[in-house]
Order: sequence, then structure tokens, then C-alpha cells
Amino acid sequence: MESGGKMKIVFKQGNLSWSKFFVFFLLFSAVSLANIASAFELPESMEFKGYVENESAVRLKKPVRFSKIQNTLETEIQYYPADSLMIFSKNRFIYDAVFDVVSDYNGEPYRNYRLNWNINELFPEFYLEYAPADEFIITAGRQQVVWGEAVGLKITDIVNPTDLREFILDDFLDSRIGLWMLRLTHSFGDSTIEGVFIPDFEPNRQAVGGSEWQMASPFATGSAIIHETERPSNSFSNSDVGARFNTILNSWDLSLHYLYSWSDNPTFHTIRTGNRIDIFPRHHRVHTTGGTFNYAIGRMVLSGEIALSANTYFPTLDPSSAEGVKKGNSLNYMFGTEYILNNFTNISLQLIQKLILGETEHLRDDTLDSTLTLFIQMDFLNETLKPDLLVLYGANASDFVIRPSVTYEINDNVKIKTGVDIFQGPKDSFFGQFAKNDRAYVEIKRSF
Amino acid sequence: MKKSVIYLTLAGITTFSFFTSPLNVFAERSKGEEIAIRWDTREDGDDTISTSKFILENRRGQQRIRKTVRFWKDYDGRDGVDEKTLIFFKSPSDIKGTGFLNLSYEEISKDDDKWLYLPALKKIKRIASDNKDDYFMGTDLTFDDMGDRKIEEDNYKLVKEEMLNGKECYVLEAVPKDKDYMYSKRLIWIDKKELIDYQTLFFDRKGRELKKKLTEWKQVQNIWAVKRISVDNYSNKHKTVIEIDDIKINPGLKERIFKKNALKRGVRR
Repeated sequence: MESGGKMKIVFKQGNLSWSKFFVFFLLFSAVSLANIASAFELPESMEFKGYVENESAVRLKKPVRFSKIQNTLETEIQYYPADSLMIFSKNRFIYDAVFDVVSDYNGEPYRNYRLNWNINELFPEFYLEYAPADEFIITAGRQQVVWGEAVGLKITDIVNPTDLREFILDDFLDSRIGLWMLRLTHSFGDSTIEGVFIPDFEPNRQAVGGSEWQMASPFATGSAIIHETERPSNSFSNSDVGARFNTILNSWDLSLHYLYSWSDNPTFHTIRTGNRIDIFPRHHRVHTTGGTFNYAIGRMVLSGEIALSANTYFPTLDPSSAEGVKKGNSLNYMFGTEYILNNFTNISLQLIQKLILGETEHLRDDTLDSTLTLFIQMDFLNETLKPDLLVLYGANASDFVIRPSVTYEINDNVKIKTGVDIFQGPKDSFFGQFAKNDRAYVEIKRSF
Repeated sequence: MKKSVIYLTLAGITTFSFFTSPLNVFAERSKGEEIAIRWDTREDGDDTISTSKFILENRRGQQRIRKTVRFWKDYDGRDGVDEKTLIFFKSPSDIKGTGFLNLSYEEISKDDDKWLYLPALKKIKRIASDNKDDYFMGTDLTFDDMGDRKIEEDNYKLVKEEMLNGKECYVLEAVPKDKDYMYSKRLIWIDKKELIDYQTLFFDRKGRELKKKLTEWKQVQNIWAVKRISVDNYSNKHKTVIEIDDIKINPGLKERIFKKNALKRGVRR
């Protein structure tokens, strides 16, 4: 058991044997794959790469203990059976030893965090790409589609849901959940039009109850009964559809998009009967229309994005509301600039706002919510040493997270990164809710 | 003799002497610019594909290796475009698939358009156009050193003529018109007959020698193509060697590969 500021790790004997086995398995697999990859000349029709990585984090506030000892083996294969055909498979095996090493993390809720045995997580991306003509591509399978320009937060990057087990701290490439979809892309001149059809529904994966990054509940504890979430059934009519058009006009990079989808987070319909509170989480259809731009002037790049979401629901305290929610529209937008300060420093600033449109009296959320971000990237020693700093500041509640880190390339294939994540702010604010979760971390990655 | 005739004769002799004297700065500067223009417009093909190996070596002798494939196309001012360059990284695996696209325009006041595709983010990132003095991907060469720099951005003067590696060379001095540029000048040794450069010395803003670049050439399809570049950076004792092989000149590259949307998909050779 942990006490005070000291970290005392309680070893669970049986699980420690398994943890040793899994770490050994990962290392053995990685070394074997690396050696196989280098020993054999792969046929020209195949490309293979991968990495093995350990990410370990320690809490800086009580209880001081490991919060993550994640070991990842990831491989990527691209196979071209014909010039116009490509099969892509990304495979990821994760074992987080913290659930065997730290006694506080025990039991069923963490089963999927300890080992990712779920087939969708073992194959986060798996798709076939067919290009019957140079300008026309059909991609079918489990994939990620990235729209948007913003750093640190998502505005128009809305096609795929997100795994929030680590809040917003994980790289988006790792936290973005792949979806089974059909994507059609047609390029003509400087323009591209892209259409997506997504029969697969997956919501954002919230951090499980009791885990390090479980988000604060909007409801008071006690008598609230949370019923099973109503999810859309798998059917053709419940599919998401969307399109995006992108072009370059006089050096302006512009895009427009539309997505008809199910909300990634459920709306909590609340029914009060006397002292009893029943909560019915339900996903709703949302129309999202938006666009992005960027333009380079001298040493600066200006960028922006905007998304109008129609048919969204907001929690309300209006006593006349039967279920404690109000339907409405919201506008999310970002304006930003990135500036090259000198040969080794880039600075990026963003203003991100969410504006709830229409009548907003009684709504629990602020009508206008603002976040400022600052991102400073530096590089030294011919880009082998890269310190950077990301700050996300919530202007409404004056809460923030500061994320300084340093990455060092030991050689072409080995990289080490270390950093801290510091949270501050009121307990009921977006960043401030994790004010006790400050952490320091080290990541070691070996690529092959 | 009338005084006016004497004065006119003296003026004529002075003028004649001025334009034929070795100290005639105007004639030498004009010759320097003329050589620079001939060097810049030397035949180098309409388009090329080449694979390169970048060897980056620090002061302790530790090396990092990058392999790239480069596509280049000369537009000769068509639609206001000077040239387009597309580079993909093939190794190491951490940056494999990273793509860089540069569109360079004829008009000197119009900035280049640049994009970088980062596979780790699955995003195409717009890069500031005025990053000419930024070093390219950890090498000792800036974007300008890599060939972005336009001839009109410098004043050229012929400093001397001398032998280098058994070849007769012009030595040109290139002084940037922008006084805030990172180099105060460059000295370039150019083969008098073939108009290819063998050596370039770079001087920092205080006039100290900062880097030395050596270039080796080979003939491909009767056109001179760069075979090897080595750069010694004296300020940080770092060295970059670029070995270029498998170069194809005039393969007939399609316009579609120089589009931003080609960055994500990559280009299979």
C-alpha cells in the first residue's frame, strides 16, 4: 500500500510472472522482427516497419505511484499485389504492466487497459486501397480520416471518435479510433473531393470508472441511476456519411466539409421523479458543416477552422425542460498562427472558441467557451535534441495544462522522450479536474 | 590644337582606359553576373528522379543515415512557375513516408509554397514560405543551399580565375542583396568550360568562414548531374554527405505527382 509521499510498490506475485512474460514477449518479438526485417530483402511489393516502445509515467502528487507502464509493439505492413492495389495493416499489441504492479489498479474495469485483446484494438487500421485511375482512389476497411488544422484539440477532426483513457494526453494517431468505412477520393488539378460512408458506429471511449483519467461526472452522486446507453443499431440507415472538398487558390489552402453522423458522446436525458433521478444516455444525429484555411506569409503561417454543429443537445437547468436537455446549434472555431522565430524555434498560437447559438438562458455550459494554446518547438544539435512546450489555457475557468517535454534521438532507430504534464484550475473545470494528476513520464522507442 | 579637341581626346583616352583596365570594376561585375546567369541556366534536364543517401556526422563521428527519393521538374516560367520539387524519406523507419513538396515561382517577390506530410500525425502541414535560412531535416544545408535560392537575390562579382582539382575555374563572389541574410557572402568555384560548381565557401555575417561545400559530378545522358555533395560546418563541427545515385534525367514526370494530395499517398517508383 502507498503511504504519504513515498512510492511503495506492492508486487502481486502471480501477475508479476505474467508481466515478466509479456515484457519478454514484446522485446523478443521486436528484436526478432527487427532482425528479420534487416536480414531479408523484402520484395519490392512489400513495405514493413514498426516499433517497440515503453511509456512509463509517475504521479507527482499523492498517492505517488506509477500511473502507466505501457509496453507497445506496433507493426505496419503495406503490400502491393498490383500497381493499383494496396493492402495496409497496422497491428498494435499493448501491455500495461501498471495493472499488475500497482495494487490499486485491480479487477475487471482495467481488463481492457492491461492487455488490448480486443480485435479492433489489435488492428487499429486495416484497409484495401484501389486506384483504378491516377486521380481516383477507393479505400475500404478500418481506417482513420484526419480533417483539420488545430494543434492540441479537435475542431474539424471529427470523423473518428477518440479513446479518452488518457484524457487528451495521448498522441492523436494513437487515441483516434479507426472505423470501418468506405472512402472515395477524386483529385483534379489542385483540388480533391473526398466522400466517406461509415456503417460502423463507435462512440468516444471514456476512461473507465476509478481509472486515472476518469472525467468528472456532471451529476451529483447519490440517487442518480444511470441506465444503459442507447446506441444506434447497426443498419444502413444508421451509417455516417460525409464529404470534403479541398483546393488551393492563389496559395490559399482551403477546404469545406459536411458530415452527418452520430454524436461521439451521448446526451444525458435526465428524468426526475421526486427524489429519484434516472439518466438515459442517448446518442443523437448531428449535422456538421465547416471548413479550414491556411496561408503562408513570409515566416508565418495563418490557419483557421470552423464547424457548425446542428441538432446538438446541451444540459439545461430550465425547470420546464422535461429531460434536462435543450436542442440547439453550436459553432466551434479556431484561428491560429505559426511563426518561425529563428533557425531553431517555431512558435504557434491558437484561439479556440465554442459558441452556443440561440437562446442560452438556463444552460449549464457557458455561451462562449474560449481556450488559448501556445506551442513552442525547438531543435538543437542538427535536430537530435528537441525540447517543446504545449500550454492549453481555458479562459473561462482560468484552468490550464502545461506540457513541457524533451526528445533526444540516440541514433537513427532509438529515441527517448521525457516530460511532465501539470494541471491547474478549479475542480469542476476541464483541466482543473485533474489538478491532482500531475505526472512525469519517460518514453523509449526503438523503431525498425 | 584647340583646347576643346585636347579635352575631348583626354576624355576619350580616359574612358577607353577605364573600360579596358584590370581595375575596371563595372566590366568585372558584369562578367561575374554573366557567368552566374550561364551557370544558373546550364542545361540540367526538364525533370529528374534520383535517390539519395544523406549521411549526417556529428563531432564525435556518430552517423545518422537518411534515404530519400527526389522528384524535380522545371517549368521554365509556365503559369508563373519556376520549378517543383518533391522529396520522400524512405528511411529510417521513424520518418519513412515523410514528404516535402516545394513549388517555386518565377516572380522573385512571390514566396514559394511548401508543405510537409508527417505520417506520425497523418497531416499535411503548411510550412512558412520564408524559411530559406532554415536547415533541411537536420543537415548542414539550408533550403536555399539545396537549390531554392534565385540568382537575382545576390550580386555576383568575378574575383579571380584559378585551378582547382586540375580544372580551370572562375571564382565568383555572391553577396546577398538582403543585408540581414545569414551569409555575408559565398565564394563559388565554377568550371570555366562546363559551368558546374566544385566548391562553395559560406561566410557568416561577421565574415568568418562558416561552411565548405564540395560537389562532385557525373554525366548522365550527356547532362551533368550531381553525384556527391559534402558539407563541413565549422561552427558545430558537423558534416553532411549526400550521395546521389540512380538518377534519371527527363523521365517524363506527370504533373499530378507535384500536387499536395500526392504527399499522403506517396509515389511508388
